[in-house]
Amino acid sequence: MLLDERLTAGPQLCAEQMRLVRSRVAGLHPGWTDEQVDSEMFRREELIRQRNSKKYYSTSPPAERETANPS
Amino acid sequence: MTARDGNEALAQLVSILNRHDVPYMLDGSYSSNAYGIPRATKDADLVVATLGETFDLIGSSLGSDYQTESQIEYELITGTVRRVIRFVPINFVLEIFQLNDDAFDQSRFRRRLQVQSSVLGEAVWLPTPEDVIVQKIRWSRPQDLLDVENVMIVQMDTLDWSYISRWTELHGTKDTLDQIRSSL
Repeated sequence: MLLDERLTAGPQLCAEQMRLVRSRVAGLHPGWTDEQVDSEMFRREELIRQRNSKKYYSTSPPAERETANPS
Repeated sequence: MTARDGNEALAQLVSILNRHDVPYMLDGSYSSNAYGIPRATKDADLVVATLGETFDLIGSSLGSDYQTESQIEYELITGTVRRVIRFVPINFVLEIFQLNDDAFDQSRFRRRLQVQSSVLGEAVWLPTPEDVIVQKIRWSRPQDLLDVENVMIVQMDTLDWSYISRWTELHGTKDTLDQIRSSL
């Protein structure tokens, strides 16, 4: 596998992963429309993203955080 | 590129940066995928030398498929500033980080390498594999450590271990490096 292929493989692997998850979500809710499945997929992705953001990022600059939490 | 994926968004962003001679490098999963075993990713991380100007340039150059987020955020370990742009059609996120004054951040940015990507249709700048390892051990989030393992597995024989050891000693992360290396 060339460096270029490896470099750009992530989004393609993600698209395949999302296709499988989407199929699973649709299977769990057979009555849902495509729009409802898409909306549920978006909601789940956002939950994961927000959880990671809260864990690893802050909206306060480091100096302000140190003042607020001197220990 | 046939189906829409995150590479489409990255290609557009990199094209703008290259056209305007903006110094940058790809970071995060794109860089570890390049040197290791690729994994799925829903975002692209880039480090730029001048975040404010670059973010304005990007915001005014990308089309209506992109949404810039106004909130500025700070990475908790190194304090690095982050801005976010969303590629709305597939909810792919471009994360742009300010190069900071930290000695290692400056060093890895100076040592970055340019590679030609036929998939992106652009030349792109990447950190060296050694710098990917040092940075990811510094973050030490669970996924980072898996990425480090994968880069080591693929690049093992070609890595400059004295360079990696020097920085991990300075960062207090040499034990983590040694643990991962001895587990392979």
